[in-house]
Amino acid sequence: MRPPRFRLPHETLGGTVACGLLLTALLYLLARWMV
Amino acid sequence: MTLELYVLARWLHLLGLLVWIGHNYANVVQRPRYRPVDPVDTAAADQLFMQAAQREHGTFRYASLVVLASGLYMLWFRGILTEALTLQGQFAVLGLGVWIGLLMTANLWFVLWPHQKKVLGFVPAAHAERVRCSRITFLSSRTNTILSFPAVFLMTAGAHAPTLF
Repeated sequence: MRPPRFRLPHETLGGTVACGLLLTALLYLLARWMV
Repeated sequence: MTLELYVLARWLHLLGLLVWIGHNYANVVQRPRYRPVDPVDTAAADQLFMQAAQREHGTFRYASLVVLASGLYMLWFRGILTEALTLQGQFAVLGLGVWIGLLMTANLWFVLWPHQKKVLGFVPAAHAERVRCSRITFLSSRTNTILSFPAVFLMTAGAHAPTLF
């Protein structure tokens, strides 16, 4: 099986953590806006 | 009696969360990058290893249902189930966490699990198919890792730190 041409962000440890933190920050702002 | 049930639900919610997300985080540490499953026939694979893997998967998969059921029960007990699910006012914080939790449970049961069945040998599959499925389960698992960050934050902040919002 050929390796994928590009890596998705959550295919690495750093990408997973970065995405998690970024999403948390965005949803925090969204929740503040909603409340 | 209902208060005892509520406390039991909260306790189960945390225990189930530790089992489920703890497993997910342990998996992230063990496999920081995707690597395909080994080219072995599942029938010939080490039986003890396969049984342990199947038991492990079943444990955290059912832990997710414990988390879901206890969480929904607690919202119902507090009389804020509808408010949380419809993201009303101050309950929007908790509600966003609930929706992310629902998404994570659906991802586990409807995306990861059907493919993991083939990886772990519950359903017989050729090696190429197992490799394809192992990549899908990896990405599905990591998606839940990402979603767990805001879910845990919104749940705890929504319940314990309303002044943040």
